[in-house]
Amino acid sequence: MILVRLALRNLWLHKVKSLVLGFVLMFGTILVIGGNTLIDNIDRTMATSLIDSVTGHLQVTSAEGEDEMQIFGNFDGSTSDVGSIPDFERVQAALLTLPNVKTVVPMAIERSIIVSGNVLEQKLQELRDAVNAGDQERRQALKVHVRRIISDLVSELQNVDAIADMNRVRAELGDKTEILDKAQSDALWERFDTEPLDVLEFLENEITDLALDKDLIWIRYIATDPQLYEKTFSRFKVVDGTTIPRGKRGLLFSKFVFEERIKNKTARRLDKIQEKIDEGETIEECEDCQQWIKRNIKEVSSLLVEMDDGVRAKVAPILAKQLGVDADTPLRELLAQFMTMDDSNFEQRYKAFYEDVAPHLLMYRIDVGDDVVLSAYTRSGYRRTDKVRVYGTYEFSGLERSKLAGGFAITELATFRNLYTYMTDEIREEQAAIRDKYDLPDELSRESTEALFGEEDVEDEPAESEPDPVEVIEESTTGPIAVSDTYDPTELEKGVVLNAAIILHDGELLEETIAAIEALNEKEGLGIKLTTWRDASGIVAKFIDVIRIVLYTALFLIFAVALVIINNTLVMATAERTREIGTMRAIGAQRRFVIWMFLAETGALAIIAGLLGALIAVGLLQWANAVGIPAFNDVFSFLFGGPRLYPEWDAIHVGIGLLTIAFVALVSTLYPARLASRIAPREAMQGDD
Amino acid sequence: MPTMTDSTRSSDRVIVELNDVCKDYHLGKVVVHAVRNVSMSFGTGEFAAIAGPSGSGKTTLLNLIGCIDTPTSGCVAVAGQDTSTLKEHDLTQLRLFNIGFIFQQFNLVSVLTAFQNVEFPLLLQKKLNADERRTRVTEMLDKVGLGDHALHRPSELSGGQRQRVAIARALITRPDIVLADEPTANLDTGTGQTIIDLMKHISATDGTTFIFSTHDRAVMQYADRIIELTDGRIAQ
Repeated sequence: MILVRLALRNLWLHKVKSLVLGFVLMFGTILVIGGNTLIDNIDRTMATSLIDSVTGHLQVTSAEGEDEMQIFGNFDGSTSDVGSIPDFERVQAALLTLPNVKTVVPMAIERSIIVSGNVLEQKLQELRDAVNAGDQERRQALKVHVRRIISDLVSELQNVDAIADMNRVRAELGDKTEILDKAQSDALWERFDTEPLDVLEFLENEITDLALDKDLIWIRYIATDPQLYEKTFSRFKVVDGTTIPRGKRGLLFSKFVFEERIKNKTARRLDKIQEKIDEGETIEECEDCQQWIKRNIKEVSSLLVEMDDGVRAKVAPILAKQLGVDADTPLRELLAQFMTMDDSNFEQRYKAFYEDVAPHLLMYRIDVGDDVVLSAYTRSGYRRTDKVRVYGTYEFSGLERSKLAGGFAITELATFRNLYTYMTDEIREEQAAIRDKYDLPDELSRESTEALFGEEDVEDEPAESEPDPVEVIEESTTGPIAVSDTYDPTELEKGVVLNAAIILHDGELLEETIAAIEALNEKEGLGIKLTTWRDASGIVAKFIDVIRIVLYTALFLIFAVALVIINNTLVMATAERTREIGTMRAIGAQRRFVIWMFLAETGALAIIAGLLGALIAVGLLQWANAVGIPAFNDVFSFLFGGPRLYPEWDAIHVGIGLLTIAFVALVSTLYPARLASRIAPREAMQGDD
Repeated sequence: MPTMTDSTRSSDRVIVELNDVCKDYHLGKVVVHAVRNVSMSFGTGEFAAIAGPSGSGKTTLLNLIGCIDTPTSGCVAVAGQDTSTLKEHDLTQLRLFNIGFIFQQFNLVSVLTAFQNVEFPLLLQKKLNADERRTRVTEMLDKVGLGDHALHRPSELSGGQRQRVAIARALITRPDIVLADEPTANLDTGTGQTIIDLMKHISATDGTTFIFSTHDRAVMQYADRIIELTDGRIAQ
């Protein structure tokens, strides 16, 4: 009682000192409570982000696999070589006998190239359709348009300095000058009137590959059982089109990739500026927006090349009127002016773009319902291609804008197995027969079979109008192969599966379940190993550890500073109060009393500052919970499990925060308190001897 | 010089006894003999002055009697206990229960009121409850004439008033002995005299032993007994 009274009185007497110390302690409390709460919230939201979208609670891979399972790829962007689960059907059945295992979803994560066509290809296809349909008027218009695209292409190729991969183009240009001259020649186009299909074939085979706007899209895909995937991962939802029907081979793009990579680039950039404006930014403040506008101005020719004369005649006057300039101004100039946007005109021009310009352009190079060509290299370097239908786009709710989460395309395992020539029983038998016949050693068989079947597919290639998409390994290149667009859904569990996601009934029992699975693995000889969702998320989940380390380092520094400050202040106070303490000791106060007096003083300060800090921290967290903390980039939107984090505070973190402060205060007081307790009662005497 | 033993007067019982007490200090390499071969005793109700010039060992002698220091040699017995055999904790207890202190600079706890300063030793003793303490402190403040100033802080009191608070604090535990280290040195002559009057009055009415150091001749006259110190020795 007397201690508290003395403590409070002393604190009051040294207001400035108390305020400074109190502030340090309060700040520390806010940081401990706020920081820990936020990190744990992030950890939780990130956990659900990951578990409910891709990883499940646990990832199963083959015990023989060379690498750890890394869902999001390695640091260098390569995929992990995890081997393949020996007998997935058996593994799945065994795992499902455990009470806490809810679902086991088979997967294979790989990369593939999607070739999205270019404008020339598109227009040649339209021209071919017009020729076949006997539509003379359209045929004529398209003929003029195609000729112009080709002459633009030639001049662009000659002026290739501005283009990134000029070496490739230069190398090819040497060989292709003759072909380009031929493509531009009047003779060829005169011949077109009589033998259109021959000319078209020449152009398709020789010219389209030279086009610079051709785009190879690297995608990472998850091959899985689409129905099971949709049922299991609650964040998965289809945006456009439908999910891949059962038994049908197909692909779902992530909405993000679809918009970012497939949509007309100019339109996409305008969309992104609009998004920024919706978020309350202005073009003037947004450096990205200014860059996007610059790119749009620079790339008007990409719009121009898509417009034939009829379209140009329609668009030019509208733009001229809109811009208030002379109607004779060339369209290129008009478009460039139109694309020069700022805060004052963006809203109006964005609308005008979609109303007057966009309808004449190809907005998406791939549409829902189109077939796309997937192209991949088998482990031994042979390229395989496969054609699948795009059934739609999907997103993980809350993670719409996250490139990390949105990077995957979803397909079914049949397409994956086909791309990687993972054998069906039929092929395996065939292979065994060949091996027996030629007495091949086992290790070689894989590669040789791939070579064998890879080449075999070339012979099966039907006469397709689709051109060969990539020109890297010419000898093993194949066109899209005729594979059935359906598969037997009961085969899904039977073939090759690289990894599988386990979803638990109760995620809290992760450790126990791991132990149970490992025991089962041992007993049944399943030949599998486990990776937790956290480890499987690799760099993504590590990020939270980085944040944690940063926070703890900051806290450690703050507390170290607080410790030194409090310690010093109290040591000084001890010196100042020598006589008073000596007096107390003289009139009968024990050493212990002096120590308690000091502890009570910092204790009272710590309690007041701690409670205030806790109050402020909780207030801030409540406020953050109401408004949400915006995820200022892609990584954070992933960590936050959505565009905003709504943190929830809890008593445990507040308690930990208060205890930490109390501990720091206590530790920093021990030395000065000891020092003070050593003050001799003699100090009270005015002693002159 | 032989050891002087001064017989006790006007007392029934010996409360403090010094027997051939020496106290040395080390100041660097120099040994200071602050008190040399002092033997004497004090009985209950004595009102004694220790006089002498600066550096004569007055304060050291008070420290030894007050259990603040223990002798280098010899024996100091306070309330029947040989201080040299006691541990620090027990010496502190002895001070708390048997001895009151009055200091030259008053040495009140600045953050506490007059009432709280006086109450402080009782709180350390933990013997009385809040009501008992209140009654006793109030009585004591009345006795020293500060009944109206109970809630004042030391900084709001005059020097004389502060020393009255200090006297009240020294007496509140009803000690056997009160030691006063130059109690009037920081007061003007008039105030000093009233303080000495007060001490003398209390000594007479309550039978408390007062031992105070002073170098003021006028103050010394109040004492029943004057012990003159020179160079740590009693010179009578």
